[in-house]
Amino acid sequence: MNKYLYILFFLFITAFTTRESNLSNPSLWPKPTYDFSKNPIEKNKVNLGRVLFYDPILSENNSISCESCHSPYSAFTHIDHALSHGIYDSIGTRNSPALMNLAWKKSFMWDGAINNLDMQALAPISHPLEMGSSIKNVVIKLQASKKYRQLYFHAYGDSIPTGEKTLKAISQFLLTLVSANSKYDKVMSGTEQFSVQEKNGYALFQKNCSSCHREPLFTNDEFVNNGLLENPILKDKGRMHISLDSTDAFKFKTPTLRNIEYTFPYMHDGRFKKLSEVMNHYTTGIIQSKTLAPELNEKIQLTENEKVDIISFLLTLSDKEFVFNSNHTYPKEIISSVAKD
Amino acid sequence: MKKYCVLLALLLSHTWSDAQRVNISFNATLDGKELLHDLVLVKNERDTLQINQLKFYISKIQFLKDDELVFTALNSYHLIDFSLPASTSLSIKTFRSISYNSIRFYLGIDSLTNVSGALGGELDPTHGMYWTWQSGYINFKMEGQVNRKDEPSKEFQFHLGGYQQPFNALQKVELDVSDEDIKLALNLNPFLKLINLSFDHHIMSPSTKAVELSEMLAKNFKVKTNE
Repeated sequence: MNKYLYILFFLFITAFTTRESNLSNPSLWPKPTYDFSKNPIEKNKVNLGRVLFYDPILSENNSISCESCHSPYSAFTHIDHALSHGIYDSIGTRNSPALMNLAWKKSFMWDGAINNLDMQALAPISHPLEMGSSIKNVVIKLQASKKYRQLYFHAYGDSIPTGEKTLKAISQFLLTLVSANSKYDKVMSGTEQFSVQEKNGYALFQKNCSSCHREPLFTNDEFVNNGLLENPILKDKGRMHISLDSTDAFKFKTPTLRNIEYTFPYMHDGRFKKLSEVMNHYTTGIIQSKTLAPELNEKIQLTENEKVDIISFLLTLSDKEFVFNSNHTYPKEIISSVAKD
Repeated sequence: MKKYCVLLALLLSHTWSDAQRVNISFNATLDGKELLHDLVLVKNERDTLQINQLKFYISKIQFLKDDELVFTALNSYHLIDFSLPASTSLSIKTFRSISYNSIRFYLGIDSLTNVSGALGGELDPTHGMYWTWQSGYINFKMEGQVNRKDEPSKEFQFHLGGYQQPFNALQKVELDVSDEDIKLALNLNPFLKLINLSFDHHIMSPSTKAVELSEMLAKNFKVKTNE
């Protein structure tokens, strides 16, 4: 049963993406973590989730939507902002992560506080520095909306919004955000070639970076201390805040490197604006500590040219079709087809 | 297929004819007094203890006869909310006539349900019994304040939960019962004895203390006998 739904998911993704080749790629990836049997992908549910994603109704004063910090044109992050911005010009404590390939993640947030994609949206909805509302208030507002009653009816055959339906619909849209058609993917499937520089960068990447940024998702989905100096204002201990275990101090979720060209600034607190700064951190900036990733105990040695080669490889992870996919942008066509409030 | 449908129909009609309902109602007591449903106010000589919110999850209700399991209620997740009197009484349909002399249930939500994504009904996160900054159900929630003579009032908020070791707060409760109309009371005194209410108290995340307090609550469900 589960396998069948999993295949359906890929058929769905296929139908929703504009790419012409390489469709089988995500199906060769590891098995997704998300349980599709509990929330089978359906077009009308994806549509509802997409409308919710772009609607500031999720915030207390109707000012902030998911898109405010997760713009499609930057692979669903907030570019140029080190820390996320929220309601009443609040500034959060962490860099908003890019959203893609979420079906494969075991946990969410930099510290893994969230155990299931469905429950992820509760955090920004409720956070006083983000949307400052609650799922209860959101559902009350949705129930009073003609537009949403119609959209819920299309999606669920029942026009009454609930917390469960709302969260699952948001998941449906997020699950369609699959990025698997970068130059790297095309090279792997044999339809394109790396340049000499990219090829050299790829070899260096595999030697120095890939134990944590594991292919094909470019993350091991684990919590790792990558040797950053503690920010004296934020004093963020990462995973330790959740596990209450001191061996997890300064560990943060390894982010994917897919679409890294679009997702600056980098790190959990957005401290690096450029990839060259990231390269310099890994070669000369590592701070030793008890919880440092063992892979970083030994100094990574790279020449300036090698750093440039790695960056040229990283740019092959950009997926333009993903970033400009019209199925992911503001759902004007869906909103214009339903009742106005 | 048809054959199975007929069999199923026969089976259902058979079991329905023997269906039985067991009523379980919950109350809470403080200093031997039953708490009122809407606003709970308990006075002793010096202090006023005001409970503004009291709600908890009861799950996986089972019936036993001489320690042997005779019936497990399906999908039994119940939010007992003292501000909604109707929620404090449960009617469990057993589908067949059963004989039992004890019941078992859990205070809280099991770890599998905690990692199962968005759920509806009594488990819908709109009930305010799901943490938002971190995933997981709040098993037990009590909020209120203590007013003492000549002192500023102290607030307390207990949000007890946690499904991951070593902070799994889920608690099993087993009680001997003799009636089809089971009346249970949660004695809050031993729980409050663990806490010094001269200070503000906010427990709002999984921790050792949350587990300890949950254990104390689970030990203090008592069966009220009909006199």
